[in-house]
Amino acid sequence: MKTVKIKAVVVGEKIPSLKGEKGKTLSIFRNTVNVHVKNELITITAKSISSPNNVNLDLIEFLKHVTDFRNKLVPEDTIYVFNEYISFQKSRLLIHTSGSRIFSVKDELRKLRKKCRGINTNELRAASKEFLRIAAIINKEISTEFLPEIIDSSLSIYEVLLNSSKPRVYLPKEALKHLGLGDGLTPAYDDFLGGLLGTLNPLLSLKGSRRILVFRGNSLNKTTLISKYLLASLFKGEANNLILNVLNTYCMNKHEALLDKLIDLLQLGHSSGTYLGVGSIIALLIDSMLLKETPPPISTARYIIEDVLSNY
Amino acid sequence: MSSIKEEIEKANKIATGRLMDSEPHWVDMDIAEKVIKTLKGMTLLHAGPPVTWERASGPLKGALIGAAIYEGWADTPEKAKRLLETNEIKFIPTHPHNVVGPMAGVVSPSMPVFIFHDPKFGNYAYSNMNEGLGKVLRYGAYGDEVINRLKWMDRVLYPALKATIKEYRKDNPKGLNFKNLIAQALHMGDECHNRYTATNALLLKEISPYLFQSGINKKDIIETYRFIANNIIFPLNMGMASAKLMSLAAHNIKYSTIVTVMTRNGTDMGIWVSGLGNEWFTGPSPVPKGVWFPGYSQKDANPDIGDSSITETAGFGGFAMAAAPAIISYVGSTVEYAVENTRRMYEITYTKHKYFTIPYLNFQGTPTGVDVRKVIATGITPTINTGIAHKEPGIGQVGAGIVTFPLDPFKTALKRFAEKYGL
Repeated sequence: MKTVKIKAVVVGEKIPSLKGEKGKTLSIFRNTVNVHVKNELITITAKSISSPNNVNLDLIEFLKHVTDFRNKLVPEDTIYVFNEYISFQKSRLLIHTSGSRIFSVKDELRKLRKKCRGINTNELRAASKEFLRIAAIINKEISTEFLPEIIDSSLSIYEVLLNSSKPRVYLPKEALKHLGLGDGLTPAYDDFLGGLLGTLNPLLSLKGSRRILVFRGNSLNKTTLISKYLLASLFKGEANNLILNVLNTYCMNKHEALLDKLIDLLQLGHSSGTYLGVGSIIALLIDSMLLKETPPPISTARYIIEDVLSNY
Repeated sequence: MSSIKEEIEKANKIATGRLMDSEPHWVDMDIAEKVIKTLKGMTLLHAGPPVTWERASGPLKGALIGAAIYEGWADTPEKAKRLLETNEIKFIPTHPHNVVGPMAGVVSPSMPVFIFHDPKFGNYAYSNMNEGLGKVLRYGAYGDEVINRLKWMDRVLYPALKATIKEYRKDNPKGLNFKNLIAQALHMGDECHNRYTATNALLLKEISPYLFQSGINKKDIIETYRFIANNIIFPLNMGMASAKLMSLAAHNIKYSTIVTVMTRNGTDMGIWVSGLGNEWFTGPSPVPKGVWFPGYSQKDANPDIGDSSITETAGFGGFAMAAAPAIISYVGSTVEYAVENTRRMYEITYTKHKYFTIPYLNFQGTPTGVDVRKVIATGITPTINTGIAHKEPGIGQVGAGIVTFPLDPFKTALKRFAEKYGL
């Protein structure tokens, strides 16, 4: 069998640090394969979604040579990360990484530092409602089943940030107890929490509050393996380019563009994008409420969040 | 919300049903200004969404200049340019007038056009005649050889085709059923956007007896036959007029999220959505990746241009690439890619075509009816094959390749849809 070589166009900033390491394929989709290497989840994808852990392939090049990872890749194949390529042993696939553009969250955030203005709560509410309507039109609406959990954990996070001045704030138990809720490789509640943390942690660090939400010990063990890795990355502020685009429009006070960037999230998974978007919106709402001279009390925050999530 | 979703489903079923049931027939030829009522005075039609002279691409500018010379409005490119810059010559998009043209898609008042009719839904559509490959007006070339060929087409090709279709209709009153030709050609290795080799043979087989008995002189018959036989892309404009009729049948259906126009002017790419009427939703036109003619490369390429993506809008062309493995030698890539592109397009289309089928995919229908909802839900945008024009006016075609449309026009359309229907 001939070895297929494909050039990566963008490589996440974490990939070079994994050279010399060995790993295994975890899950194989049509355009995407998830690989486990040294406690990191690496996603090799022909979609144009970049993150510190992603390797992006040019779609047309990918389709010319592989067409479908599910036909090409041997399950649980061993992979090696070398200096200039990633090798899938049994599957006879080489992903060339030399000369690819490096995607760096730090670089992306550096552009926003000191000039993050934010969008006011009312404009955020309008964009959020529109986002949820669009999600519903394309059959990716959120399930009302998880709304109470989402609202309660959002408020618990708002409350802990409101009342703490410590640089490291532990994620409240309320927010962690629903991990794994929902179906799929990344359960709905995890997607929501991922969107919230992936947006809020970089935002908090940008705002110079020096607070960051962290989790205790092995709290993430109760969910799926892939979800656990993704959440762990997002806790560290390692957001993907789609979430960073949302953050960017918020920081630059481009409220009209915000909806466009939220809509981009909808392409992720069956409903993952909607829940990520909801998490991201709640993060922005929390930030905009915390920004006020007198941040609203929990009761008002509850009203705002409930209003955004229930009235569409 | 659930009732709105039901309305959308119902509307999309109607729209795609009409698209597939449309019956495009070639019925006549005429001079453009006689049949396209808005084409009066010093006005030109062009492919794609509206654009100003300042923002117009090189090949579009070249074709507009060439058309002004062809019409006799200017005797030099400089004079033509001045008239266009000062808006003395107006240029407006083709689609709102039921006209389609490949690449720059420029149609001028004196140009002969194909007339296509859909007896099922009563619509008419028009397209100009195809000039062949290389240095041609539609790729922005306007030298003497281009103008002389257009004049020959007026003098010889147009009357010959007009006489041929008149003769043909004596035996076939409805005209020449072009949907049948496309359906057959898809089984013979064409995808009917950039590959029309089989269609051309079928067309000649169908019309030759009528050309021979049309009563025109032998020399013109031979020249006409040779021109069509040597121009393997000749039926493109007819395929496009047919596709326009199909998408027109699907247009203006309340609540429908089906795309009824996808087109480019070399600067912007634009779409129409059935339930949103003739409102344009645009984004930057992407630059194709492709196979280059000798001496040219990616740096010479203009962003994508032309109305020809009406073929994909109607469920063939690039969406049927799995039917046309030989297209790869023209646009680059691999046979696997051709098959995979068709498979990917199923993810963003509402249905599979009832009449256009692909033998290699066990006679599955082609992906039909791009649904804005599915584009946003998957992040997959239509991918088509295309000719590539040089970015400077006056040069012409430099290659052929593959291009993927931007997401923004689809996003804007969906937001507008939510606004219009008060969702």
